[in-house]
Amino acid sequence: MGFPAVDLSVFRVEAILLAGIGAGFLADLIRPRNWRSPAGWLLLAGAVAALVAAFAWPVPNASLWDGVFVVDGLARYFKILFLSALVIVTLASLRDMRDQSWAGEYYLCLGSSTTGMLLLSGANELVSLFVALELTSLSLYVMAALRRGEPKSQEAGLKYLLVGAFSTALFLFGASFVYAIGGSTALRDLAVAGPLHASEPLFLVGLVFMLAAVGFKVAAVPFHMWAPDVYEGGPTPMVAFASVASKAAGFVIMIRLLLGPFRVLQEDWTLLVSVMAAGTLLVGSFLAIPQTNIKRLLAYSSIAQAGYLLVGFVPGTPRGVSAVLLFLAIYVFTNLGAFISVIVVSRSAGSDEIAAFAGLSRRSPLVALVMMLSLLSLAGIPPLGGFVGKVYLFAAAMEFPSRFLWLVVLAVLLSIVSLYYYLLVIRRMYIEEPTTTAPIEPGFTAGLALLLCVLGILALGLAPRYLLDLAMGVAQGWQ
Amino acid sequence: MAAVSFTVIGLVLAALAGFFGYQAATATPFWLTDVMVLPLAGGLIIMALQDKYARMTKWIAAAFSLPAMLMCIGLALAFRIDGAGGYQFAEHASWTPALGISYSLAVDGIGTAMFLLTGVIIFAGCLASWSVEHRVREFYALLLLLTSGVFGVFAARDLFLFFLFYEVAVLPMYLLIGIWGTGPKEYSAMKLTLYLLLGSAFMLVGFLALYFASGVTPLTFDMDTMLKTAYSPGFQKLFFPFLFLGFGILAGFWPLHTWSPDGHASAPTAVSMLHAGVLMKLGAFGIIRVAVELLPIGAHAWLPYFAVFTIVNITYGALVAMSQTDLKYVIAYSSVSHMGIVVLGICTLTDAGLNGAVFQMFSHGIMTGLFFALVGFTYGRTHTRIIADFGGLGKRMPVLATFFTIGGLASLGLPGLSGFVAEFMVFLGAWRFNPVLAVIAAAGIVFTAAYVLRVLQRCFWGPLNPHFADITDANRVEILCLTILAACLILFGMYPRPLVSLINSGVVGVLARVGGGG
Repeated sequence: MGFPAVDLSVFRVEAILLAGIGAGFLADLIRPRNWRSPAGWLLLAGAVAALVAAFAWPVPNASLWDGVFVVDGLARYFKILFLSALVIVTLASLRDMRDQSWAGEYYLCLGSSTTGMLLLSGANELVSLFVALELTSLSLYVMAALRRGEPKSQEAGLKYLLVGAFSTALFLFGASFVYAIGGSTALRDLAVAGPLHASEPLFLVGLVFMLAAVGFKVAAVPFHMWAPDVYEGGPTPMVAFASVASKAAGFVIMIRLLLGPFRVLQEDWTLLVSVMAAGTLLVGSFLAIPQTNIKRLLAYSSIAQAGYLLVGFVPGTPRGVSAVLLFLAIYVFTNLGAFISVIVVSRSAGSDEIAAFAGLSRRSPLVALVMMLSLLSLAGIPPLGGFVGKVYLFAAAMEFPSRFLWLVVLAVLLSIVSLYYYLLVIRRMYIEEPTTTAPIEPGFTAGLALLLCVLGILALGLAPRYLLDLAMGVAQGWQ
Repeated sequence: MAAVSFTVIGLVLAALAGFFGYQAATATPFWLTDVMVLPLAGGLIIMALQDKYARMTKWIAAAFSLPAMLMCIGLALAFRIDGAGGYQFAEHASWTPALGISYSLAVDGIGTAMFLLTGVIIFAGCLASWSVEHRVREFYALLLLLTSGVFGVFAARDLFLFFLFYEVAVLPMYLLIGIWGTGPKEYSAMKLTLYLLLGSAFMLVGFLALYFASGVTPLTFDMDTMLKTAYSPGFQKLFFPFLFLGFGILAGFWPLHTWSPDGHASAPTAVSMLHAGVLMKLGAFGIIRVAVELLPIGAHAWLPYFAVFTIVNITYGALVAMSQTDLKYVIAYSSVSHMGIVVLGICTLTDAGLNGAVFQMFSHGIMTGLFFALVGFTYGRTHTRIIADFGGLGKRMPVLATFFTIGGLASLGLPGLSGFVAEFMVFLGAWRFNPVLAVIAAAGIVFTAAYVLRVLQRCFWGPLNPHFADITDANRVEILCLTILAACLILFGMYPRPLVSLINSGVVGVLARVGGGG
């Protein structure tokens, strides 16, 4: 038996990126030993070309191998999102990785992780979903441990691997139940079969296990413990990438699963997800306060942000999905803006402590400004992107005040708590006097990445309508 | 860097020229946007300025805030009171249609009065900050940014826009107090910011509830549409406290006022002026504009209870002010007390009460601006704010002492100054609403008289403390600043009619919506 002929041009975005990764990998192998690795620049070229192709030459809707992979609005949206994150992170990495012996491996893993995400955004079947997810995750585990000789990095890699393996097992376990009940691994078939088996307890067990596995990916409470350690130990550019892209990947799976086969169990997962959201918000907001390490602080902050996303996701409406999509796109620019500022500062200070930010506004007004705007955007302050995103997430839940008012009130109250710890960092940068007046230069590529982030934060805050229309179209078209 | 600096300044100026040129060419003036854009443009230019030109900062700030003030005066003069009153100078542009968010601005009589107040305070505030040397560019840039936000709130006719401007008006305070403040400035800055944003969190929930419950399709944040919506009584009673308390925090509503004395006492002079003078009015304005006007049934159900709290505001604020040893804390607590009068006026839901409340917003804004300017100028000379350390300063600085006396007399409600007009109207409304409350509130004025006279006597009269034998009186910039403010107090105290009829044209609209009156 053979597969029916398939038009492989639907994988052109992935192919372009792979060409960049492959070229970088080969060039890294055959370069003269005293040359710096060109892998970063080649990956950047591949990523930019893939991004341009995704915009300029969009793939029409398609369904391959009976719906194992699909190309739909959701897939196209997330591919652009992942590639944007990759471009910005690669730009920000170039200077940092220039003198690292492991730069080649780093870029290879960065590229393969993104490839996994690109496949993941179109995977519409349990096995392909699983394979894409593993490609994404394994690359990230390797990257976390790349800082050889740094015990914290080793710890981060190991912890990430073990927790990830556990979540993988949960996912597979859940998937096996779902397959047993539904009789298929294709989400399309399961969505049809789902209503017939809504009362089967094992179907619910499958849901719970798979939700837990996704909870690990998005670092939702109670599956969040790995995040602070991995963020602290891993190379900062990798952490930046994981914090936005891995979270987005988790939400792709969540949308495809919970609003697909598990739509019939909405009553059940609404309860689970809203409790998860509340816990995630509480832990992320309060545990960030005592942190002294900026990367740990951002880890808890990103846990809290996952909580806000869950608040918008809970109603399961098209409005909620579009709010999640919009927020994730804004979050790419916002969180990367913060992380790249951290990269720049810790490169010159040699420390990830928040104290290293003291008087940053005197040492580098531009980096301090970007960091402040990013943090305020994370806190949801207008007219920045994060504000629009957050309001829209809350709006999605407030559509049903009788059910979710408690959750929205909790979320807005905790956003004040989170503002507190963001302000503590801003206080360091703007109010405290610097311990040294040596200026901090971001350098050209990281500066460009910062600029892109600021433009994204401002543009999405001041003129959200274009992206919003896009997200709404995707959410409605997908349902 | 020079190139970047000149490019940014050039772009801002070109954009400004293009914007005004467009309006002139098409003869469609956007008055409200113009007033709002001026401080923002000034702030951007100042931010882009190179360090070596930093001493030009205050002149640029004055050059942008003076036309803003003049345009505000022009707005107040051009506002047509006769006939319908209602909303004027309307502007409308689609912004995010998918969510029903539009850029729509308009002011009624109440909004116009607040524009006038803001214009006066910001120009006076720029003058009062003339002596700031430390990181002067950032200071003025933030101050002007904040002012644009304040103008935006007073003009917004779209709840999303309203919220956006509100946060822009509140957040720069954190840095302004944290960097340029005195005393426990970081604590005060954090406390103020968190309290006010806590208020905005409640507001946001209320706004979203209003958005979905309006039941119109497509959903919209437009306030005029919401005004036409009859929200169900149960909904109104549930969400009125969200909005009232959200705004009430900013209006210094007891017991959520504790951010205000700390914040105002720690803030630098111009920031105290702007915050106590204008920002607290944003809270009262929001209560009228959003909470009361959009949820009239909720207002009738809740306001009688909230009125009791305002009595605590008035008397407790005055009593605590009496026992302060720090001059700036006296003024800060007096704001709590006076804002209680404003909220009491609103709670009466009567014609006189609402008119008095808005008049008091204006009058107190000017008065407290004057006070904080005076405290700042005095502190700049004596380097102490402890009342016991002063004594006989009037002998060395008669001008400052005179202005302080004018402000003090307005504060205790002396007829002939604007404070009297306002308080008289509020108590009139309160009497019709509930005579017992009116009597207690009016008794609070006695405490006000006591602390004002005590401060005047301790600080400015009596024998001169020899320690201050060679301090100087106000300089010309300071006198200009004080004169503008005092002139407003006297002008609208002697001849309140234009302002009263301006405000009344707005109050009529509110009462028509809310019912009540009398």
